[in-house]
Amino acid sequence: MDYRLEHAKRTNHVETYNFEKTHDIDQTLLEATKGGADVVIDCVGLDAKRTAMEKVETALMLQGGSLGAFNTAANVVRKFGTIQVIGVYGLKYNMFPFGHLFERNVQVKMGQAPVIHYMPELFRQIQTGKIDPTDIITHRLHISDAPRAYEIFDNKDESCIKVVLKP
Amino acid sequence: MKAVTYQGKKKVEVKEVGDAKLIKRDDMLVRVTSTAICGSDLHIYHGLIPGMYDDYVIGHEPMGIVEETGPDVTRVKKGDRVIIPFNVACGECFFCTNQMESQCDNANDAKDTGGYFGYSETYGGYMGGQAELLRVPFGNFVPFKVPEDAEVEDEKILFLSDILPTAYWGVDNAGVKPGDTVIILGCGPVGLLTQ
Repeated sequence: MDYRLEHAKRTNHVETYNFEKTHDIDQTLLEATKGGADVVIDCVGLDAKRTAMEKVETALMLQGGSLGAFNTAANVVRKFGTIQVIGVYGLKYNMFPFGHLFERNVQVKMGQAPVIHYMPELFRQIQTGKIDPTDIITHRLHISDAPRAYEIFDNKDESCIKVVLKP
Repeated sequence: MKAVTYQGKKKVEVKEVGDAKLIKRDDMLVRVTSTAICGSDLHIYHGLIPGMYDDYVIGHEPMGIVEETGPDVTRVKKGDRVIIPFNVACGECFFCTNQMESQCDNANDAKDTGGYFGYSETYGGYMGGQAELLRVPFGNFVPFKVPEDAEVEDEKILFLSDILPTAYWGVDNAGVKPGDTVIILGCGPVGLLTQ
């Protein structure tokens, strides 16, 4: 985790918080944003750290993975703010904070990105040097190394962020 | 052809499988030159995606060179350099013509959602791009053709296939305005690009 936060700080010049090392992450973020963010973008999805209960429920297929990241989003967005979910979630969840979102007029948007119509414009931005996404590539491997590539990426070994395979 | 295949939970295997082939008149084949592993491929890896079976070819962040085109493909030709987005989309339905191509009406017979490469029978049953060859349906809409005069290496433009536009759309769709305070949860590839 820390190496990725370091990367974020260095390349994106953002403030970072390690949720595992922050005593009360929701409260910390509320204070840092003076009462909540205008927009919270959830790039985590079901892979957030699961509670013991969620582990059991997910194994029994009663829960689509962790709801931890979304719950944090719900707690740190301001009233009338927007939560945008990009991280992928499972199909169904118990204990979804429905009323909590409703009573604070929070707008939730989500889904699979429609990427095709963004490609020409983003290609131009790369060509003119406005965007350079290559800094996240940490591993370049031959496709025959895929089993190892998946393992490294999954375990976050070797400070892995993104793997590119070459056939 | 060589391909990265699903073999049950936490097991992928690089195997020799049958070559990808043209099936429909507007299909094309791409010889893959670079292909990335996505965080959502780890959901497959962890056995969380229904509709996967052994030997299914994974991957939805590829680019390469057009190897062959069906008779109805006019937009690209053999030898063109292309980036293949993870969305499989027809380009003609209500959703595709209104910039909602991730929910194309004609890309997934299994369910009322869009279709995606390398993401199980549940999302259209398309084989994936972590392979030497990839069949791309809807050859007149899906591929992004890299301009011939563009001298830009694969690595710079590969992420146009998914994570870069996904991050960009997240910010755009959320309606972020100058001066807004934004919290990004997550520091994986998409989180980093969103920041």
